[in-house]
Amino acid sequence: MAGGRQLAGGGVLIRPPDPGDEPGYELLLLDPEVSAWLRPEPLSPFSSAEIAEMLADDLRHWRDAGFGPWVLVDRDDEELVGRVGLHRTSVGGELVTELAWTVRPGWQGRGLATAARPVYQSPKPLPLALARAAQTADIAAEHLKIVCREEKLLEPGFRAADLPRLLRKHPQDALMLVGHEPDFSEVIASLTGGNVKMAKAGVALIDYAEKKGKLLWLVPPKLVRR
Amino acid sequence: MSDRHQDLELAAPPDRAREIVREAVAELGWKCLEDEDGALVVRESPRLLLGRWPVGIKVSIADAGGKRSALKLCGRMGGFGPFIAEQLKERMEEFASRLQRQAAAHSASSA
Repeated sequence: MAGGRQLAGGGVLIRPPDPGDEPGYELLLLDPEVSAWLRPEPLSPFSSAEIAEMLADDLRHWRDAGFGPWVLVDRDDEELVGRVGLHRTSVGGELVTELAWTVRPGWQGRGLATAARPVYQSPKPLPLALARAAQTADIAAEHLKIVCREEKLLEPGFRAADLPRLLRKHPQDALMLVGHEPDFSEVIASLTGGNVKMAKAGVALIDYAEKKGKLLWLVPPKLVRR
Repeated sequence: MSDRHQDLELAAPPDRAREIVREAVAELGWKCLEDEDGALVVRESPRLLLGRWPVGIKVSIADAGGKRSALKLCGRMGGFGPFIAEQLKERMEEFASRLQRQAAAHSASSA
């Protein structure tokens, strides 16, 4: 399954671009109808090098600004179907933010623009790390059929001392927390006394009581993947 | 896509005006081709940084009499909206004033 948040109406996921999206960008930008719109005569069509540079620019945009164009992918075959989101550009010597929007012809007219709006027009765009954690949480919640909520305490800087407050806010027998490194490794070490290194997308189960924890298992992403 | 048209008169005969266009394009690092009807096709190098699409301009040159040329600039850029329209306008005005500077320099040197 492709990572990303599902758009209302189903069928399409939205996520920030990643370096592996170059074939998807080519599929989108070399489509004859898209090319006629973005590279009209007398301009020449996109070259592979320009497409690679465009993806690199989108990745830089996310890294530097904390937001940028998102990609829309087909939920079933993970093919890229569009690129949408806020993007900085320069007009009259001033830096402005525009809405970039391109959808492959077969996917137009399905209301993707409306469905994607709450993601790309969030009042405060999520920094990349936060966006990734939110996507991971969405995927886990969908698979486990559990409710997913955003929790500010889990933002970078989360410590073991925050846990009692977090548990008071979410009084459940079992909670799945998705957060950031090195915070989670440090929290586990602080609770269990063990020297633990959480890999990105790794999962750990902690039996927690009385401000202490017992590490029951720690699974690296390779095993989680199936 | 977005289109913009601009007319321009240069103080140079058509043959020299063609050279002026080619020189200006070379200075900018853009590309210049010639299409079947003799018009010049100018393509800006892609400037993806800061999300700006390149501009393409077709330049038709006619004799305006009195050693002057009438240039018709037809510019195009990908996308649409007020920002794109403004960027296209900026780029075409920049190109037109470069042509006029070049023509003025030419007439000064040949005077």
